[in-house]
This record gives sequence, structure tokens and C-alpha cells, in this order.
Amino acid sequence: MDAIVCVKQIPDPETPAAAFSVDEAAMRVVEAPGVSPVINPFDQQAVEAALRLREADGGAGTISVLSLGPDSARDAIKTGLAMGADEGYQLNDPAFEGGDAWTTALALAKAIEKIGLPDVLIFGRQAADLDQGTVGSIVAELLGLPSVTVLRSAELADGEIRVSRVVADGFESISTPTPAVLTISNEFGDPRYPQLRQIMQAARKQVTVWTPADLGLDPGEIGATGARVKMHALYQPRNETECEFIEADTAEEKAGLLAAKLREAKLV
Amino acid sequence: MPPAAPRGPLPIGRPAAGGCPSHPEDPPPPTPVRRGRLRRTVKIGGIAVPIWVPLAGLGLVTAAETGRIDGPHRELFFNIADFWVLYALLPLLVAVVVYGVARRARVWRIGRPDFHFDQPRVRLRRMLRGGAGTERVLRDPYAGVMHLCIMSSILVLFLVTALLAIDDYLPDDKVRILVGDRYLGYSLVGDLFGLIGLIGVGMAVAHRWVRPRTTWLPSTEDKLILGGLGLLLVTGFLLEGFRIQTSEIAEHRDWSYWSPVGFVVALAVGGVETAALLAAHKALWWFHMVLALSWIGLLGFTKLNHLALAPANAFLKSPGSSGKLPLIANIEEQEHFGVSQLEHFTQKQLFELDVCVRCGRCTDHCPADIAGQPLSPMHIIQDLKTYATDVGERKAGNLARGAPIDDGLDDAPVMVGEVIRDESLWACRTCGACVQECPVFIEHIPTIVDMRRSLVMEEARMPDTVQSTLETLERQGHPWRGTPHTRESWMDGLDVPRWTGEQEYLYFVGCTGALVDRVQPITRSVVRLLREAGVSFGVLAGQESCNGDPARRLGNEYLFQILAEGLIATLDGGGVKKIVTHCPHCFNTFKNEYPDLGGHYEVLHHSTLLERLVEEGRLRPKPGAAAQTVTFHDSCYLGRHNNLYEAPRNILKQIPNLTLVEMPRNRERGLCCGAGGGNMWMEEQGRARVNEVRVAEALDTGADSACTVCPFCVQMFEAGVGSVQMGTDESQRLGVFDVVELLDVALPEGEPAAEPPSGAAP
Ligand code: SF4
Ligand code: SF4
Ligand code: SF4
Repeated sequence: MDAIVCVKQIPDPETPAAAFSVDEAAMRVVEAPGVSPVINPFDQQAVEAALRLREADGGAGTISVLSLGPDSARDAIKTGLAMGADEGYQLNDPAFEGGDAWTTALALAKAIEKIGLPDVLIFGRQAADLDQGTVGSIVAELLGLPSVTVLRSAELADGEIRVSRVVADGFESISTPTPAVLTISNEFGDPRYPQLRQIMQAARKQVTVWTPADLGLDPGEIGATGARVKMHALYQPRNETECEFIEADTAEEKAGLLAAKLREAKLV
Repeated sequence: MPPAAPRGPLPIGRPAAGGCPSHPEDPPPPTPVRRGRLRRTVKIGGIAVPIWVPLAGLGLVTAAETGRIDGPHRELFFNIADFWVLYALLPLLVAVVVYGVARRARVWRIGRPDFHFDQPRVRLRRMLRGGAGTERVLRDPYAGVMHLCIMSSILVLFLVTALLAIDDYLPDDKVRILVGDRYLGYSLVGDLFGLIGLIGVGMAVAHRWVRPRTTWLPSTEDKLILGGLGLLLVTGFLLEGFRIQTSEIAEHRDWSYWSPVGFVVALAVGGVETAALLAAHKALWWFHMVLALSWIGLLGFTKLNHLALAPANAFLKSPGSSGKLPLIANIEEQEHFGVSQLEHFTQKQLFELDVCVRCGRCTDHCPADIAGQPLSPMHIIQDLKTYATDVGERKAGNLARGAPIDDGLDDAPVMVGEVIRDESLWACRTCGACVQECPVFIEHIPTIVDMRRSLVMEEARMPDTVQSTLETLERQGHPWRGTPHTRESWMDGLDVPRWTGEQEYLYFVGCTGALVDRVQPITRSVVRLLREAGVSFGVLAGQESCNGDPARRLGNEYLFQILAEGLIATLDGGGVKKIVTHCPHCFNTFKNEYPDLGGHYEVLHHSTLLERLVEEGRLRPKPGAAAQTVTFHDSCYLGRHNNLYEAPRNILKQIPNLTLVEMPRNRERGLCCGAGGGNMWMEEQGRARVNEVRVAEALDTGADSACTVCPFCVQMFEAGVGSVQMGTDESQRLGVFDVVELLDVALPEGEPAAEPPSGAAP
């Protein structure tokens, strides 16, 4: 079974909120020192899913990890390689910067065609930084493939994939022909911890880097110029608390005043 | 011919071990124990055994030439002909012992030949005091006395027998040793030590069968060794009695008094016919001799071999701190990481397995075992030993034949996972109690951590909690997943000097000091006190990263080295020379482990620096505080691993109106809080949690609060108080503090205790 797993590198979602700040004018997140970029946790589960599918299928086949991102994104690819993936591809060029889900999906789809369509394309259910959760589905659309999203399990059987989806009130079991796009949810289970030998091998592996030209993409289609979503503002929500003491002589009076306040605030 | 007097450094007359910083593994004698004097006497007597026994022998021998044949004496080989058979049996005995040892040595040699002989003086001293002098054995008074009895009895009786043989070779008409008063003294000494040996055997039997301990059961070895020795001593006395009755008592009754036990036996058999007695004597003599030789033969096959192996192991034990783990050098080039097969152990580690005498002391002091958790260091060692006996011998056989080492071993159990279970390895706190108590100097911690290394780095098999801790360390450079703080949060509103390279000390706050809510105020107190005393210091703030201790103890040596190398680059880049650490674990890593990686610093723990400041009067606790009773919990990474027990206590003693009470387990016998070895981040399995056990001990002292100087201990204690005193009103519960907090309260803000000394930088 061949698979391509698309991964994204994001600022560590475990970083305490206090460490972030936002440059509202430039509409950018100011990167705080000590915040390390990491592989999106859902994408790490996507790699895990690919590995488990391959193991259940007898262990043959190639798993490739593909990522669009700057130089540092290589580490996200290496994380996938250390877990057991075989090949790494990176789409890295200034022209890719500032894009949105659409331009990202477009570039990924081109790259997937160039690598060669595998049996399954696997994504994390969403990136834990912007939480949009759309790239996988757009890639499926662009490649004309079926897509099943937010999976908690998947198994290969007779050329089909049987999956269990997480839905609001339970689980949904369906099957889809291959090739297909799967997006993996955290219910899938924890990703494995790589063995040291694999980490070292991954460190030595070459990652293939492609630019828009390699993919036959026009710079105007991608990055900030190709983006269809326009950002109007970026700010940190403010969390304000006010504390008011109700003063009165007796407990009854206090209770009365409190009730009045609560009614005023439409809380009772 | 005479046994040589010991040369070189005599193991007595040295300063008390506690005063010698060069060998921190020998803790100072426990101070305020009531049985202190008795124990010390026993100890000195015990340590001196290798001296006084040969000296006594020497004395007898050198006095030989004055002997006269007409004084009290006895006929050698009385009633025995053909005793040359004995001499003929001797080579056989030697061959049997050599064969037994060689079989074991074959197994040792499948390991990695990684021996160290650095600091030979320390090693030698330990070999004499601890190996030959049985210093560690004496830490347990009952077992110590028992061992001393048996050991001295064997030694003396061996010399007594040797003397007899020597005497036999001396030309009768010119020189005899065993005549006159000397013979009488000799008889008395022999009888006395025979009796002492019987007492020792009796104590050992009582220890095993009459009031056995729960942690272990006596084995066949125990029965053979003790049974054999007991029988040997009893038959010895019977023989003596028979001889006295048949050849001495009638004419020289006054000589017989000098063999009191033999004399009693002689009286008891007084009614028996002489001929019958002589026949019995002859038969018993042969039985006695064959038994003696067989018993000596046990040397090759049972734990009796410890009488040679234990001193050797005392020499081989690493001379440094028990808090230091061995480095995996050139980790990128290793074929395997850690130990999953016998042959991955070092030869010394395999040798050690055979040294273990199953005394159970390590397990008796193991916090995990005390809390009923699935770990017993004795069983780790013993199970590995059994495995080495079975699988190890087959592996050695394969190697000898030139076959692949695992040839035909498909049926062998898996060493890490089946023989040694994962949960046992994870339950270890690396607290060092076992290493410290082991009378034969076994180092359990490296063996346990080596197997963890294989679990983590080779197999990536570990509890989820461990995995998540390691991932957090990898990504965030600290182990506190989910902390809402940054490394600078604790500094808010406090004027904390940042490291410029100009200051004297770098105050290394550490991940726990910076990121954990309960610990942040302690960190702030340290800063306030250092400033108040005018100490020149700075902090790395956001530039800090984990020193790697958790990664290393959790078995991820690779991650440890990456973290450590990164931090060393930061420290060296900033020109850091002296470090004050907040945490005992950081202290241990910087002090004992960083030199292996090229990081050399002068390292202090905050309690040591604060003690100095209080002593110098730069911090003067103010009177007027309410009376309080406090008990102090020793951190193993400060205490046992680094021999620092008094600094925090001295600070406490300087706080007015404070009474310090000790828990029964204190100082080098202190019980770990349960956090060590990465267990801070794990779920505990077993009857109780270690911190609950420890909190109960603190409560038993009746103290108002327990204090410590370790940010992990503080958290463990708070959690322990929460569960042990669940039903108690919060205001009535045991308080948990860092010593620094108590000192801080005793020094009201804005009252600098002294002029900032000259030379203090900004
Ligand atoms: S180091 Fe401590 S926890 Fe580990 S085995 Fe030894 S005594 Fe037990
Ligand atoms: S390892 Fe040491 S302390 Fe533990 S049982 Fe063996 S000899 Fe005794
Ligand atoms: S936290 Fe304290 S007592 Fe617990 S393991 Fe560490 S040093 Fe030992």
C-alpha cells in the first residue's frame, strides 16, 4: 500500500498563551523566543494512520511525507520519516508564502500528481494553528477523489477502505474505493514514539525540494497573490474580568441588590 | 611463612568518612542515634578484622622458637593414620573451585570489556574498608554482628588449623609452637571462636527461619552454607571432646579447662568406653575433614564466593557519585542503545550479578518496594543472575564454539519484558538507597537505567506519561506539558538581574523553578534573599533550557546529550563559571554529569549558598516569629548522591523559635519522595504512593510542617498531604515548605541584614 501524508509545521500548540503576541498592524503573529515550530499533532496522527494501514496490509509499499513550508518545515517532514515513512518532499519557495487553504491545496495536488497518485492520501483533520480543516477536501476535489474526513479508524479490505468517522452524536461507518483522501482525527490514537535508530536514519535522509516551477505552477496562482481568502484583521481576543462587591447593611439587602444586578445582566 | 602484616594504608585511624569529600559514596556515620556508640565499636572492631586476625597469628608464630616439648601440648593427628589422604584431596578441591569460578567467568566475558580504574586510592580504600572490613555490612546491626561472628570465626579457625599444620612440619625436637602456655591460649582462642561461629550461625538461622523477613525466602544456598558451617563447628567440638576424654582428662585435667567447650563434651561422654570413643573419633574426624573440604568447595558454586568477589567488586565500583549515570559516548555510532541482551551489559555489570548475596537490604530500603510497588532491586539482580546462569552460559558456549551468540536460543525468555518486567524498570526512582545499602557494592541504578535506555531508544516502548514527557522535552525544552507560564513569568514584578557575564554566580532556576505555580514563589524568595545579601548573580531567564536530567533518567540518553550540549553552549557562550542551582537534580547533573560532556563549572545548591550567607551574617533571621516545629526531608539528589545533609538543617537551626525534629529515616537513610527517575511525571502502580508513605512519616513526628530544598519534593509532599490528610481541615494539615520560604519569612522585607560586602557587582 502506498500513501502520501501531507503535514504542516505550526507553532507549538502547547505554548502558553502568554508567550504569543500579535502585531495587529502587520497582521502577523510575533514569534516569541522559545516557541518551537512542531509538526501539527493531527498530521502526526495522519502519519501514524499511514503506518498502521501499511502494517495491516503486510508492510509493503512506500509512505511519503509532503509539506509546504519554509526551511524549518523540513523538521516536520523528518518527524514523519523518523516514525517510519520512507520519503520526504518539501514545497519551499518564497512564492508559496502568504497563501491560503486554496493555494496550499493547489500546490499539494500538483506535487501529488508529480510523485504519483498513491492508494491513499492522508491528512490531519485540521491544522492546530488556524483550525480550518479544508486543505484535504480541496485536494480531493482538485484530484477528483472521494474524501472521508475526521476518522477514528480505517482499514483496508478488498481494495476498499472501511472507515469510522467521528460525528456529533456518535460514529459513522462507511467505505470508499481507493484511491481516496482520508483526514485523521485525534481519536485515531497516539502517534508512535520513534526509535532512536530511525531518528538517526531520518536525519540522514534527503528531502526532495520543489519550487513552483518544478510543479508547473505560475507564481501568480499561489502564495499571497493566488490566495482567495483575504485577512482583514488579526488580534488576540481580550479576556477581561471586572469584580464588583455589592455593599449593603444586611444580607437581605445584599441579596436583593445581587438579584437586581443579575437580572440587569440578563443572567436570571 | 608467617602471614604478612597488611601494608600500605591501614584501614583504621583515618578521619571519619563524612569529612572526606573525595568519596561521597561513603556517608558520614548517623549522628544522633542512641545505639551510636555500640555500633561504632562494633564497626571499628569489624573493620579491623583483617588486621587483628593476621596479627594474632603472627604473634603465635613468631614466638615459636622458645617452645619446649614438655609443657602442655597435644599429639598432632591424634588417633589418625593416613591423614596424607587429605593432602591428596587438596588439589581436587582447588580444581573444583577453579572450575566453578571459571564457568561463571565465561559468562562475565560475554559482556563489554569496559573497566575503569580511575582514582585507585579511593577504590583501594573502599576495598579494604568495605570489602575486607565489611563496613557496609555493619550498617545493619543485627546482620552486621551475625556476619562478624561468622566471618571472624572462619578466619580464626582457618588460622588455627593452619597453625596446627605448620606445627606438624616443625622438627619436634627443636621447635614447637603449640606447647606450654601458648598451647593453652591457642586452645582457648579456638574454642572461643568456634562458639562465636555457632552464635553467628544461630543468628543467621533465626534471621531466616525463626523470624523471617517478608522480602525474601532462604534458598538452598543458605541451607548448604549455614548447615554445613554449623555442622562443621559442632563436629569440631565433638572431636575435641572425644580427644580430651580419651587422651587428656585423666592426666592433665588442668589443660582441659583451656578448651572449655571440648571439656564439657568430654564430661558428657565420660561414661562411654574408650575404644568406642576412639572409633567414633576416627569416623567423625574423617567426616569433619571431608565436610570442611566440601564446604570450601561451595566457594566455586554458591554465594559463599562473595568472600573474594565482594572486595573485588568494592574495587570495581565507580568511585564517583552514585548520582552519575555512565555516558554513552559516540552515541550516533552505536549498534544498539542501552541493554536488551546480556552481552550488552559491561563485564563488570555481569560480574556484579554473581556478587549479590541475596541479603535483601537493597529491597528493604527501596522506596518503591516500601510502597508496595512492583520493584525489588534484589530481584532485578537475582533474576538477571538466574538468567545469566541459564541463557548466559549457553551464549558463552556459542561464542566458544564460534557460533552466533544467539544460536539455539529461540526458546529463551526475553530479558527485558519477561525476565525483568517493564513496570519494575519504570518504578525506579534512581534514589540510590539500594546502591548505598548494598554490602557488596552493587550498582543497581546503571543496570536499571541501561534497560530503560533500550526500552526507550531501541523499542520506543514506554508508558504514555513517559512518552509525553519526552516529547515535551524535545519540543519545548522542558518537561512541564501544559504549563501556562513562560520561563520569565515568575519574574513579573520582581527586579531580577539578568546574566551579563559580569556577575559572580549564575542562578540556574530550572524548568520546575520557573514553570510550576507552587515553585515560583520559592524561586522568588531565593532571588530576594540573594539580593538582600548583596550576592552578585544573574539569571538566564528565557535563555534557560532543561539540563536534560529527566531525559537521561527516563532512558533517552540521546535527548539528554542534545539538551546538555545545547545548554553547555549557552553557559560557555555566556562565560558562566559558577552556578547556583535551584534544584538538587540540576545540581547533580551539572556537578557530576556535565564534566563528561565538557561542561566544567563550580556548582552550588542554593541551600549551600544561603547557609554560607546566614553563617557570615549577611542574612540575619529576626526573632519574634511564632514557635514552629519542622521536620526536614532529605532530597536524594542532594543527600545520598552528593553527601550534602547539613546545609539546609543549619539554615533551619538559625531561624528563631524553630524546632527541628527528624523523621526516623533521615540523612543517608532518607526515603525518596517518589519523584526521582522521572516518576514525577508517571502514574504509580501499587499498594500506595511513595509520597503518601513519606508524608505519613512526617506526620508521625508531630511537626507543623515538613520542609525540603527540592522543587520536586515540595510538589510530591503537597500531593501526599492532600491524599493522606484528605479528611483534615486545610488549616490543620501538615505545611509543606522549602527551607528558603521559612528563611524568607524570618527576614522581613526591606531590612537588609548587613551591608552589601565590597566587591558585590550591580
Ligand atoms: S534506586 Fe531507589 S527506587 Fe531504584 S531500585 Fe534503588 S532503591 Fe529502589
Ligand atoms: S544487591 Fe546487594 S543489597 Fe541487594 S540483595 Fe544483593 S547483595 Fe544484598
Ligand atoms: S524529588 Fe527530591 S526526594 Fe524526590 S527524587 Fe528528587 S531529590 Fe529525591
